[in-house]
Amino acid sequence: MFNIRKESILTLDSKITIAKTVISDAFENFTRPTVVWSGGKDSTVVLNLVREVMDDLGKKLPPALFIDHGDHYPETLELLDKVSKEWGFKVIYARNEDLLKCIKDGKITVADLNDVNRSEAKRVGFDGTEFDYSLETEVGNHLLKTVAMNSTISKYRFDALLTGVRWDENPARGAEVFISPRETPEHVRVQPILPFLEKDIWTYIFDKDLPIHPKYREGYRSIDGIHDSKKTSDLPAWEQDLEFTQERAGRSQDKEGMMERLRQNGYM
Amino acid sequence: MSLPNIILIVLDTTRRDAVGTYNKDISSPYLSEFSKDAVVYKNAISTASWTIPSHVSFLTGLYPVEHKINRVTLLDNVITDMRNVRERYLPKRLQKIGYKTIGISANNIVSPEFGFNYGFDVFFNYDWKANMIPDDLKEEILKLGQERSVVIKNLLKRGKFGTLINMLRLVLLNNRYKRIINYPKIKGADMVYRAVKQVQPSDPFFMYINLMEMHEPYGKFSDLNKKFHSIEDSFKLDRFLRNERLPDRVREWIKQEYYGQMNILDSYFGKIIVELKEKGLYDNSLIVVLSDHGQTLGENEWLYHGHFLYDELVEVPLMIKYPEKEPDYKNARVNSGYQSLTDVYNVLISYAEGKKMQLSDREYVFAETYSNETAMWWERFDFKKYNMSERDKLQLFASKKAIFCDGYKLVLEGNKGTIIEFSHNGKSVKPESHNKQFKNLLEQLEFFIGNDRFNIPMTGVEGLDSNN
Repeated sequence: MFNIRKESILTLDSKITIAKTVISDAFENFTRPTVVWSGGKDSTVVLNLVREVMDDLGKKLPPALFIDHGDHYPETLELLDKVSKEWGFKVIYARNEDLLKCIKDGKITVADLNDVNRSEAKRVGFDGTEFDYSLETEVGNHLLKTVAMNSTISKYRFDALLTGVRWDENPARGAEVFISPRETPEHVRVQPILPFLEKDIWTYIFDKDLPIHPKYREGYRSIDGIHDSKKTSDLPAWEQDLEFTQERAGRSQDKEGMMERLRQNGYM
Repeated sequence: MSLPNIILIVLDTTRRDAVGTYNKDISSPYLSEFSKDAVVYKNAISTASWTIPSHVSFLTGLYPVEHKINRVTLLDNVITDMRNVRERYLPKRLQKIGYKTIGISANNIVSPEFGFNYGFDVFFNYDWKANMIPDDLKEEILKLGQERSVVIKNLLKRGKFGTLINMLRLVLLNNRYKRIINYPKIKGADMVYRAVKQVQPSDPFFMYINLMEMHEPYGKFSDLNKKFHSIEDSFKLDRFLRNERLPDRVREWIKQEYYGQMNILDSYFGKIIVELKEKGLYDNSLIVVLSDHGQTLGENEWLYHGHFLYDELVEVPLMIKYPEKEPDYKNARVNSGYQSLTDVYNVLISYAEGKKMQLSDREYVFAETYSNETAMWWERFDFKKYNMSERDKLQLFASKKAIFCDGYKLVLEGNKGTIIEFSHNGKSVKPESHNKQFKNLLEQLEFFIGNDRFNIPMTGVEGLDSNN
């Protein structure tokens, strides 16, 4: 009985109450919050929780921040467009334009990159001359996602990023807290759905009839880049064994401690 | 590696066009000499149009909407009252790094009274305006009226001869005192210079200097308008609320006085620089020269500062002399961008941390005013006397936000979301004829506003296409 995880003993209703408290608190204390939204299940849940809290407060939805690494399913972009129009909020596309314009035959030459990208590549320990345009390598993932996100945070002066990070996704996220300050750029991460289990996410999505990315139906349990995400089964995500198999088994960025290192350098 | 000494010189209330470096019609030889050693930033925009929010911005790196210090009472400690401000406050951060911190200010707001001395090892404050009439006496007088004749009549009516004699004695004394120190031509710069001469800080140090010579009052303006208290404030509001055009003679006179003050300011600035050079503190120091806001000199029928976001109020000089002999300026010069005073903070912190980040341009910069600024003055003003129209109320009291991008400027007020100004290169333009830029500015402003209580036009403006 001592093995029961802290998030397993709360009811979903309690978790929703916690999430909403965290969200409304963040909106009171920070000037410029944004929801980091990938079109995936977790961040869509956060977005809907924010929407409900904003409804109660009589406020408009804040803008969403989408990390656009250029390797998205067309369905993702369609979903973004459709939901943002229906719900009435703006989407800010965080792109590492400098890197994206340097892709030649699927590769990026370090010398072509600007100062910021070169020094960021060095910071994550990359000292080669070229690397693949891919989210599967640490340098690729860092430059395409974290650097893009950070420059967008600075540009728009966002002081609070609401994310869909959950404790049970990956051991590297297991020690996260609800409000966690970050430096360079200075902001806080607001993580309202930490205690949600994967099962809770699907329950909430069906309860609220939220839009579902079509790839989940095809058997993907975690979705991001086309080349980074793999099916874990042919069953829809919500019908798979959510308790005893790994949710992010299909995601290369979760392998061999890479997630931990990405997080140390600013990833979620 | 040794850290550079950091010297921040605020030319309080100096419009960009009052500095010879920016305006060939003005002579300010010492500032021009300094600018040869510095990077001259041509598009610096202050975050606000009066002292407190603007100072807190470049001393914390935050915009007013972020630091939220926009309205004060006399007893506010503006720095330590707000946690995010307290923790970021430049002198405190530098002190923690190991800098000796010295404040030398002629501004009675940038003073210990408002908590600006937080994080300073030593703070000198010279204010020639303050305490010329004791506060309790001032309070008593103010209850009786604004005009000298009314106050005297009321004092006589109430039989308060003692107060009357006391008041008149102080007025005479003050006048004599002002003559001796040449006030209001010199507003503290001589004392600031003396303090700079006297201090012998050990390295590394941070020195904040505020010179008030460009700030009102000017010359014998009081003779133009026979009012007893807040003469000039009453004057400007009076005219504004009655929708009267400022008389040309006032306009001309005020301009002459204002630009004339640059001679005095420049000479003291020169003296301070010479002093730093003699002490060997010039070459290797990071020296920033800026202004916290500009000054309106009759433009838009307004005098002085606060309340509005006219170009004259937010376009400020900014020059940075980096400590390197031949600094790499490539990051510092981008022609089309703007500079925000919030970024001065980042530059100073980065040098203090040994990172040497030069100021870079921004695609968008912002300025804000919350209008009802100081409780001390507004709350005493007899508004009932004026039949204020809705337009006037809006103009004066609504908070306003401005965004600048690529030659375009958009100013909105936040009560009804009215557009106050939309201009391109200083000329008013119509949103419908610059649809794309207008929408872009509106969208960026919306992001900037974030959670602040501020209404913006929801669906654009009449005549604009509404495709999105």
